[in-house]
Amino acid sequence: MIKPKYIIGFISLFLVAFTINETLFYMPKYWPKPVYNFANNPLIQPKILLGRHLFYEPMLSKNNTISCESCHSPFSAFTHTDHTVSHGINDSIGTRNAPALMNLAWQKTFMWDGAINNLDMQALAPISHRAEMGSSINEVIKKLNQSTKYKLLFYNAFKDSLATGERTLKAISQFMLTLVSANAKYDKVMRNELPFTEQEKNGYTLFKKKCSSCHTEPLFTNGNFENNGLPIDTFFKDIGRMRITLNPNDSLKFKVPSLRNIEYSYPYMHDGRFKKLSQVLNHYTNGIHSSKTLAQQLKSGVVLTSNEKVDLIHFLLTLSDKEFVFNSKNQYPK
Amino acid sequence: MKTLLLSCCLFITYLNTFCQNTTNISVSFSAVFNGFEPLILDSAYVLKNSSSIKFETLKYYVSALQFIKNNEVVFTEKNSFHLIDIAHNSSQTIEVECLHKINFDKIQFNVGIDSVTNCAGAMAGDLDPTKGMYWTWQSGYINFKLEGASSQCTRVNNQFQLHLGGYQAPCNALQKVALNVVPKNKIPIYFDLKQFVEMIDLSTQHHVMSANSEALMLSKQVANCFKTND
Repeated sequence: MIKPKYIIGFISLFLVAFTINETLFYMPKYWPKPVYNFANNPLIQPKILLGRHLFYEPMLSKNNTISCESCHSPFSAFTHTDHTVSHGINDSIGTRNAPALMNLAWQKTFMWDGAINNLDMQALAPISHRAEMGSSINEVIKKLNQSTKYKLLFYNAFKDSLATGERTLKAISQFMLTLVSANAKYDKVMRNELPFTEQEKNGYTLFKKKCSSCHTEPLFTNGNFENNGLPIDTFFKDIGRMRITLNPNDSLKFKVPSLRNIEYSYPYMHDGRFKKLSQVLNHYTNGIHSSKTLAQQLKSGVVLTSNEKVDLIHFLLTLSDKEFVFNSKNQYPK
Repeated sequence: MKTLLLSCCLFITYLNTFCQNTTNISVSFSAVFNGFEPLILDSAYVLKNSSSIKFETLKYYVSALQFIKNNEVVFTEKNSFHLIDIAHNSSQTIEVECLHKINFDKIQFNVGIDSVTNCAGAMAGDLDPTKGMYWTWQSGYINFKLEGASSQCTRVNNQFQLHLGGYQAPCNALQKVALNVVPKNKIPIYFDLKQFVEMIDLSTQHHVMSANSEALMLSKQVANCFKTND
């Protein structure tokens, strides 16, 4: 007699396999099940292509100057290298560091404070923000419906040339969902294709002991919000997650970022205050600012010798996925 | 075998009668001021404290429409999400198609969008974010939007903007409204704006644009201002 839970398990596996086209979306076998509901937006090549065009489309901004790529460049794992906080339309300066974009199908919430609850709705925020694209979804739809290029792309994707809010957002999601980074040296080691060096191995052991409770493998984030002991920035006075939940227990908490491709995604932290990985590690060993909402794991401090820090950085560099960063199918569509 | 054939025939006859009895009920939503006087957008009204007020926008979601008889649900509309916009007549009537004739004494609906739908990603039709009823800086539908100007508001151009929403506890602003009705094919439902603005204090509550306790309180007051003329 087969237990009902196995039957349900089999059916759900079948459904996942049915709704996710593996040639379009790479899902490593040792990773958890994605959070994104692919059944509501099944991936197909023409929709991904439309999304890719939209991602690189400056028409998304009020004066046609800023695209998603302006702050999320493929060569920096889709973040804004060299900028502590990002700048948008008319050189306006934002308040937070643009996050790297990868493995978004596994992400529960978006933005540093989790303000966005579904990948589909994410693009609405930068499109409307006065310091980012300064436009509105309605303005964008109007421009897209006047463009011959997009009429064709929408027709290919939806069998109808009309651009709507739903279609536009879902197409952008489709492209972003394909940004899977799972081919770093770390992944190759996990798949027994390559060995770690001694230093990397030592760094990995330290990582599992000191960092992985928040930066959990294999995504290198647990997706939660934590206060990692940064002294509050007196200029931005950013309270993080509390802005959304209005709960004082969430004060100064920000989403735990993934550490994948950390080599490419500097500067670090929600306000980009650290340029180098060594500064980040020094913060954890010597710079923790104690407050009511400080993460439990940091309350008794993190101890690392300078040699250990070097080994840890060696391990962190094994999270660099060159194939992802230089993958031409993620780049500007020619 | 004969019994099987006979029951098949009976079943088909039953289905036939079932299909012939479809009824259409149209539920219309309008805004009124002073009893049942239809509201005219952009025209000035006087309130009891002799302050003046005009309304520019009134839009809200009606969802999960149900008909009830003796406290039992007799009909639930499928995919029941409707954006009522007082500036557009065509948006104000919901045509409900029932497969069979129903008897009811109450109509029930939600003002706003439930939490599951709020988290379900991009959607089409009345739920498309181009309808201006979706927040951009934080995910979530605006359940109810009322904009205008009043001499009670001390802000720029005496404006007030109430964008009420929020789907997460403790500020889940979704409201259930149940009204007793006489069963007819046309059911008019009225939102009494005078009652609403006289319940609230526009001198302090003129800008509410995020999910918080104030939005929750105002949403509860919105729910109390729907009425019928039965």
